[in-house]
Amino acid sequence: MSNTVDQTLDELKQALTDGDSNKTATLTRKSLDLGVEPLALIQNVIVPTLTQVGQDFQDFVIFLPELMASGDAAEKATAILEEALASSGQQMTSLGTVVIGTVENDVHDIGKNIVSTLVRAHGFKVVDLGRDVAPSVFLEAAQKEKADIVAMSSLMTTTRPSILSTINLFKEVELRNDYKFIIGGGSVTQVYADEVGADGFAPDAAAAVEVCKAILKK
Amino acid sequence: MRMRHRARLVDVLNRAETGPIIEESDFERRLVTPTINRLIKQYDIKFDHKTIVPSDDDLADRLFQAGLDFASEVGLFCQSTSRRIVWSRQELVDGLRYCPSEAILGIGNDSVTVHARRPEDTIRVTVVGGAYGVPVPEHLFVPVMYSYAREPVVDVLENATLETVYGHPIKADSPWEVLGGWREAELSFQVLNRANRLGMCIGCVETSPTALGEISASSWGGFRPSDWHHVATISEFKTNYDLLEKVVHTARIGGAMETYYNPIFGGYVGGAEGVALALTAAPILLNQVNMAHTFGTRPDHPFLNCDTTPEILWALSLAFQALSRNTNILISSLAGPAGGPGTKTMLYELAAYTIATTVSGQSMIEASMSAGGRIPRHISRLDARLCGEIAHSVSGMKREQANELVQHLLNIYQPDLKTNPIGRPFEEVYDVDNVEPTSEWQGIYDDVCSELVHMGVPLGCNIR
Ligand code: B12
Repeated sequence: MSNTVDQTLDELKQALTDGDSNKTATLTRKSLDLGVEPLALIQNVIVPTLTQVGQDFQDFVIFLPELMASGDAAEKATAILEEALASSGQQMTSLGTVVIGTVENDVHDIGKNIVSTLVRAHGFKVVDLGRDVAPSVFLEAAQKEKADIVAMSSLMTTTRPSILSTINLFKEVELRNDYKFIIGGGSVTQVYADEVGADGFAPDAAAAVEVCKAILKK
Repeated sequence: MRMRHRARLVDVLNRAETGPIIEESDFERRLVTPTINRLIKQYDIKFDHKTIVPSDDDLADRLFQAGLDFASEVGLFCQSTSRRIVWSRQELVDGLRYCPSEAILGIGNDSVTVHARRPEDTIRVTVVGGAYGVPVPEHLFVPVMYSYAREPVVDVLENATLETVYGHPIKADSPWEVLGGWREAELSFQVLNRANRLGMCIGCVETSPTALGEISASSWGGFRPSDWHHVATISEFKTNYDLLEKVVHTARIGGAMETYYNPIFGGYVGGAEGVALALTAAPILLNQVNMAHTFGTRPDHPFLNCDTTPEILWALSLAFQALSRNTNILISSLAGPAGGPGTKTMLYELAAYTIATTVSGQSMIEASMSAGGRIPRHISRLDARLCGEIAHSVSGMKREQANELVQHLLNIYQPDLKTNPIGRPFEEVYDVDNVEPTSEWQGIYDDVCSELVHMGVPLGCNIR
């Protein structure tokens, strides 16, 4: 029995690494049928596998399409596990919910995609709003998703002001203190983060994961 | 032959509204990536660490055919309509027959003529000096840009990016963007006056995030049709209405246009081979859609922020050979070293970059996006002097010899790329008042030039 479990989990790791969403879904269900706990699957299979995939991308052993495919496969697995938990009356215990997007008028989304894939891989629920995201869209999504963290990416000096506009909008509706704000991207520095009163900044995706973890511990 | 190809403007706009519909993520992941991967195999395109500057003509010609295949199979995606702008292979070939094989940039005695070149060509390369996209505060804009304008080897200026306008952030898609564009024009003319080069061509409002900044500041009293109007492409192979609005406006003012495409290494097009193929296919499509004069590129290594890795240099060299052997496209390229002002790393990177791209047939060299192009004030015009001098001195050089030089330089600088060698800001390597480099920075520059001469770069031998 444990033999089949080990083998299934190995196959699941492989399917995630290969970015094969269908196979991942099948193997996730099979693992549940074999009695593996959903939370154990997340902590022992999905998180370490996706962390490795993220590292492989940073080393260019694989390229962006492969990274995104693994991210999609992981999302599929997580959705199945969420359902399983819900039907047994449990709550999906993610590390927290992150609403992320590239700010208004900014189309640069490569860095943001990497951050969102890696943060998701580390057990957060990530709602990716895409690029060119208006302040009001951040606000709406943060409320709807009951977000813990609002993460903004900005690559240009001309779009950086939108970070401040977004934070100000949250202030105006008196919701600023309900969320943590983290920011990043080429035009942003720690100094700027302090200036606009963001709660965190990270220079790269690996650091972004650490910031998310640290911020929610406080 | 100059502009005969803008008659299809209405056809372009029409195709952006009637082409095949596709989701953007499907375009990238189901169309771009698999097509690139298939064509690389089919045409047997392979990266080789030992020949960063290849001299295999057959390989270059195969890459060109693969580029044409890609361009006709995939087309350009328009984000605003979620449609592909597509052309048959024959339409693309016809379009290439009528692309401009020369362009005049600037006015009168200050103008320069850009010519189509072939690999190992002796025709003069046009030199662009400036700091594309590097943020500078308003008070430094004139000294920084004047440092480039007074440099005799520089033919065309490329503006840096203003951090603020009258002290306020230049907010995209707002009145501030319009005001920012006008302020850039006003300051640029101060620069040309101070340098006594009033007709010099200026690369203008290229960092305008929407169409507003570019279109407003390129009207009466602002930037002139003879300036270099930039239209970007969204990586990979995408455009949108903001960019097409710039195309329409530039066409109607009879403006000189630079269009460019910056592929991401390791992104949807993959590694060295994919970048080479993308770099070949993009100008073929952009000639058809944007109808530009010159076609630029500045590929990016997303973690090192530069375009001087061996893989990217190889891709640039091979793609430029593919294009320059088979078309009259005026190729321009923008050096983006990881190193910044005050570092030897930057100078070595720029040398390798200029040698590899010039012998491969480019028409224009632009220097530079120093320190990766995103660190405020990390600019110094000695970058443009070096690239200009090298471009002229290696014109006519054999690709084999260029390859040896580039390999040698790579051995010196490659280990430093990972150390984030951004160097120092303008005001620390320059005397801002008289706009001269500090003796320390000038000394480093002179040392590297002597090293290059020892290596076999015939610097200074070919005054043009
Ligand atoms: C690729 C690129 C493009 C591509 C973008 C493709 C895409 N789908 O994203 C294209 C060609 C479309 C493009 C277009 C433009 N670009 Co551009 N682009 C770049 C370039 C070369 C690389 C950016 C990149 O992807 N880096 C790789 C990723 C992995 O790095 P990253 O984004 O920094 O992300 C990492 C970290 O910052 C961090 N991070 C990122 N986001 C977040 C968020 C959070 C919350 C956290 C914690 C961390 C974090 O983690 C990431 C992973 O490690 C940069 C130059 C540079 N070297 O940065 C210019 C640059 C950003 N672009 C620039 C400009 C001007 C433009 C255009 C306006 C050009 C034009 N005239 O049209 C347009 C923008 C139009 C618009 N409205 O947005 C300028 C900005 C200048 C300025 N001073 O503001 C730059 C700096 C280049 C330059 N020097 O000119 N660009």
